[in-house]
Amino acid sequence: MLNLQSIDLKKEIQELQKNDPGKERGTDIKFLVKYIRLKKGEQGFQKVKAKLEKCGYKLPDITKIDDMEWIPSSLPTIFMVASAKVFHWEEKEIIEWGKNAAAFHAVMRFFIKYFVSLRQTLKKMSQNWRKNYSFGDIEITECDNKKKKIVARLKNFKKHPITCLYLQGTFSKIVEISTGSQDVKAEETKCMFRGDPYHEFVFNWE
Amino acid sequence: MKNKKNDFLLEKITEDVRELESYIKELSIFLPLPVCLVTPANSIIDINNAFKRLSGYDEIDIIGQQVDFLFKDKEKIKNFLIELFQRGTVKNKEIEFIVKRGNTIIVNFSAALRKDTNKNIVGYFLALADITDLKKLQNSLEDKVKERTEELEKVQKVLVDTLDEVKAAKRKIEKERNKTAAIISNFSDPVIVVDNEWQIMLFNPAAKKIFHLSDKNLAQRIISKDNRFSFNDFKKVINIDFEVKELETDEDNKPIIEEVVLYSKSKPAKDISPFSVTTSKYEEGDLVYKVITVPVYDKDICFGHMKIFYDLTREKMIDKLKSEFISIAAHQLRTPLSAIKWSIKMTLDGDVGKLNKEQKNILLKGYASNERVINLINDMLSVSRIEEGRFGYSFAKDNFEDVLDVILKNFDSQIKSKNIKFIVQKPKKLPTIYMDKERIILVMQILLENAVKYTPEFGKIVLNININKKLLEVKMKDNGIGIPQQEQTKLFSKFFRGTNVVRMQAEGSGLGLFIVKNVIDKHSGKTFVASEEGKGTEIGFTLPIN
Repeated sequence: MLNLQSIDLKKEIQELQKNDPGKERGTDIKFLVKYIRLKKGEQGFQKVKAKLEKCGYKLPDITKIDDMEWIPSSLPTIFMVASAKVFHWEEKEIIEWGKNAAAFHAVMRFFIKYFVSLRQTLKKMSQNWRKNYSFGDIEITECDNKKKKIVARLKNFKKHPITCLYLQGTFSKIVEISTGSQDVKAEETKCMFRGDPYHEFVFNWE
Repeated sequence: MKNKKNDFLLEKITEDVRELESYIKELSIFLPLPVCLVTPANSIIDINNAFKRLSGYDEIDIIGQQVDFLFKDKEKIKNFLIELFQRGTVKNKEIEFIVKRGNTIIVNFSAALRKDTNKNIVGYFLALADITDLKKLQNSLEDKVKERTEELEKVQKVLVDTLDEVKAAKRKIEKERNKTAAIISNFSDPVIVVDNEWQIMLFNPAAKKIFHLSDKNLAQRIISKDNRFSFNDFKKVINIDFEVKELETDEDNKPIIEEVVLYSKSKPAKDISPFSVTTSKYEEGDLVYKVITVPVYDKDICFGHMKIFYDLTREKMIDKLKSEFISIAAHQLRTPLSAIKWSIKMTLDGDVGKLNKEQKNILLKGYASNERVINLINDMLSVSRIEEGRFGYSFAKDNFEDVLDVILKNFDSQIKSKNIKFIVQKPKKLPTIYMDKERIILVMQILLENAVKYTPEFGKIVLNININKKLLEVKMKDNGIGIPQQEQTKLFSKFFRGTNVVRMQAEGSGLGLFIVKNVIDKHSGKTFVASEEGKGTEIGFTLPIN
């Protein structure tokens, strides 16, 4: 159970910057900011920005970041944590945020157009992972259309627990789009932050 | 070196991808047609700005949604998609589209499958065209058409009702016409109806029989257009020899009552004096009709004239027989009466011996009585001759002054014996008239005799002679007993005598004014009378000067 309200944001930021696992495309932070602006308006975004500044973290000018530009992976994570803390978001809201990545994330949208079948979608997703992140790999261990079940493992990808929820939402949406189902159940059965060697997500749908 | 080359290529590809993405973005923003991209599993994966504007949805609302959630009729969209996957495209299918606000709009749905290089279906494009306004216009037009159709139906109904009413009215008119036609047809007297176009429009079987009319070419039976509706005008269309005498005319000099004689045999053309008034002379076998002309009105509109023929043949024949009897009787009586007259005259003159006073008085009374009878017989013979057309006339140009001289001379003693004040008013010079002087003297005698007879002693008679334009007007005014109002129309009839005259047992045959009328008519003149019982009478005539 993620509990962001009790954490010390300043310390968390420092920790994330210190343990930055790698880089990712600029489109990630651009989407996250866009989502906050959509959900909470400009005022909401400024609140987050002010919160970060209060913690001594200056958010870069997002407009100057290019979609395909490599940025520190800690930047999107810090923004997510700060936003969740400002708006008192919990697991549900984070998962929803992740789901919407499929709709807004430029890279995701670019690839999602080629998600013709579930198997092909997952294959494309694993193939293109490293085009978006400089770390981590996806492995599909099970993909059964009859059982309507997918098991995906994300290895070498230890960012922050909030990212696990976010990705769970994103993957769920991809499964929804690929299968056409509106009832996809997702669960992170293994997590590197719980001591597991990788993250494992199990998806079932009707 | 190799790494550098790879980095260069990667950088180039990245740049191309960015440009491509930018191009797609710009295209998506610019494209006015609402479009969305859908997976083969019918999940929406992309929408353009036009789609957002149309639907009100943002990517958050719609990406990942099943395409059917956008449409009201799920079954219909299902069928569209089946058709899409079967044929590859679907074009301009009308469907209700649910926008974010919850209401629906009418759109034209078009879709086309997307395939990869291996011909595998990778999804489809779905394009929507908002036809709400078009639909509204269409509905409005349909409503208008419906409204107009209803109006037209109403008008049609009204027209049909009107037509029915017209038909009913027509049937009624037809019925009335048939009824009228039946009445006219069954009318035993001949009837002919002429319209305002001077065309015979109707005649009954009796007229058909008498005038030998046929239904054929009825429309061509146009009588004279410059007519006065006299039956004379019918001579053009009726192929029978007949003669017309106008008995009464209206203010416009159009005949109201005429007498028509249809000859059984053709008569030779007659030499008729310009002043003559046709007098029917008929023989056995001829038919005599009194013809009454009446205008025919429908409400206030006169659409023609009707001539009704009353058969007077029998009356005329009886009248003729009567006249013949009177003529014979008068002739037979005149000879012995003349003999009596001369016998008494000779006796009174003392040719057979001297008479004493008493004998003389008795004979004088007998002579006077005999004279009255002779006068009566003469009047009767005159009437008889008039009716038979044997009342001979001898027209010549004579001065009316001569007529006046004779009259004044003849009546001088009578006027004086009753002490009547007699005044003659006349212009200095009287004109020459084309006339039968003897007959006009007779007329003047009758009129003055009546005036003297019915004016009391010491009364007053004024003889007024005027020249009025082309007419000579003669008026005899007295302050005598007058004529009752209701009897004045019969004044010029044969044997007529006023009831007040009969009461006072005045002498007279009732034939004088009948003779006056006939003589004046023969001279193309007019007679007139104005009288008030107890106050006097003004009676007179006109004669044409030329």
